[in-house]
Amino acid sequence: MQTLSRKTARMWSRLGQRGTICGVALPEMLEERSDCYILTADLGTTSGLSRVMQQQPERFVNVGIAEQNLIGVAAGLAFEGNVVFATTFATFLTMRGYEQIRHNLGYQKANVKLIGSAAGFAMGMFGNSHYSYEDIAIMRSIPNMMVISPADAGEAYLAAYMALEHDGPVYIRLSGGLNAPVVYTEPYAFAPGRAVWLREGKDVALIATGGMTADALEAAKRLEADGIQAAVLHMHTIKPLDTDALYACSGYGLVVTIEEHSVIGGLGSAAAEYFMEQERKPRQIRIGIQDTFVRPGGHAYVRQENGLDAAGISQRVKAAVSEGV
Amino acid sequence: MKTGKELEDMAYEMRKDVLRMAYHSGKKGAHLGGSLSAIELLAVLYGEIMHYNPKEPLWEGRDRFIMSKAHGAMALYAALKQAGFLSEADIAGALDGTSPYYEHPQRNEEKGIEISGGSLGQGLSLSVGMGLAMQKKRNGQSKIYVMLGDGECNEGAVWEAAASAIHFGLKQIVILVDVNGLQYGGPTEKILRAGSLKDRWSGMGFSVLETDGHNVRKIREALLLQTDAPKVILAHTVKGKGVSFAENRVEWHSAFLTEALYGQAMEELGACRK
Repeated sequence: MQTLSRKTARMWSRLGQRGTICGVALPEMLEERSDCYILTADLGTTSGLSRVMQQQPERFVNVGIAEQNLIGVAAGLAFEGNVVFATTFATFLTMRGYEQIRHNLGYQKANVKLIGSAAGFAMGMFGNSHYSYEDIAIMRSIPNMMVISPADAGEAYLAAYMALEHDGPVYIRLSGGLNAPVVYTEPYAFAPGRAVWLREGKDVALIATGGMTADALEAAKRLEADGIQAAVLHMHTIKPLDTDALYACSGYGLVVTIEEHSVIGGLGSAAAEYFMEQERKPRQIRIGIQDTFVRPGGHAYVRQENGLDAAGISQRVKAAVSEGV
Repeated sequence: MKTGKELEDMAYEMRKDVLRMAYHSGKKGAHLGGSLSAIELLAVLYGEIMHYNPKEPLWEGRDRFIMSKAHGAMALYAALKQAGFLSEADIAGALDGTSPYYEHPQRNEEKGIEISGGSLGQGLSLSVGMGLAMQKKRNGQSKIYVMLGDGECNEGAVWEAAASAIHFGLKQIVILVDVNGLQYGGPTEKILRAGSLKDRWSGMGFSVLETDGHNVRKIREALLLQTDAPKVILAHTVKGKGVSFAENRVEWHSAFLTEALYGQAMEELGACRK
């Protein structure tokens, strides 16, 4: 396992979250652990698994374009005492084999780690069939499932190692593609279920997950220019939720959740479910996909069209602040 | 090696236990039909073919059994009692609404239940994963027996898994299809025509054997036969076998036994043994 540094952060961000897990973390794990397996549904080379395929062919399994079987085979390997990573695009991974995931990973706690790549609209011109903005909702509703959405490639690397050590099913939702923004440039304690305060601010709390955290930070800078002090909380773990961090947010007049995901069932819903049961309830705005299939296009275009970039976030927050609370 | 008579005696005891469990489930009802069709298959597996040790249930070299057609849970419980995993008390309490032994088996390796069932079409995929793990560990001794229903073969996931079992050359997997010809909604051929199950499996590369799924000697012969490819045994059976009013009756897929019917069923079983 490598440590995060300015150098690795820069290098890994070029590979993106998927490239870093599949091309760096997984090959290392296979070297370090003889009980570790990598499975895919015909996305070996595309996922950056070439090194694994060449160096550890015995523990790399491609089941073909068959995601239901992907999950079942992964669970069977896990029941024999192995730790198994299964990866393909987030949409097919979580949706095609959903019931297999529920039955084997959730109910029977098979020690399988799901690596869902290109979540949100990272598949750009491939269109809605390849977009995934319901995956957090359906994964977090399964008992025993941990749900992680890293901010950058370095955090994806740390999350993968956490998953390796964690005894039980984990879903890691990967954002973005190559050349992703860097959020962390030095070592920090990545702990599942412990959100990270990346910026302080007294006026509004921005709670972001996945690739949106970098945009939330940028939005906070823009808001500062307009005299609004925005704190940024990176919620890399959507389940189990960091309720201590949310409790700290409840003192704000305005809380804004930001995710490249539907507003139904994702981070925004999870936070709202928490706040709803508290005596002290902040006003909450959920930035995300508003229960629609978006108009397809390039990744940046779709995010922009849906208010999911720094400009969109800062405008939305400014409007909400000026409306008064 | 057990005699055919001994295996038939075991099947008889198992059938009685299945009827007791079904009766015990009360008006909730139980999956009697598909349990009774699988009795001889399980009797031969647990009575003679499979290697296991209830005193060391996690023994690496054991054979695995996956009840993919999990409505057959009562037949499995009855077999696990014969095998020494479940006690008479477990059987006496099964399906009472509070017992861990309910309509579908729940994973409990200590008790010989390798995986939880109930969601059809998943067992074969699990066996492929287990088989790959055994291949890697050079465990050439363990076999994985997977029991499917013919109705279960409606599920597309079965065929994804079947293709991968062949592709990865997993000869330790032995598939038993309980071909009783009926499923929940009616005759299997009327619900979703399978064409020839034999051609389907053999076309994918399996060695396919057909046998009488109630003849313990023939089942044993099929299980012992060495084949070049992973083996599929199409076991032709009668749903509800052994109980006249349930045999080949779709309504006995899941139904409840009145006291009178229970008495009649037990009597019929006994009469067959005389």
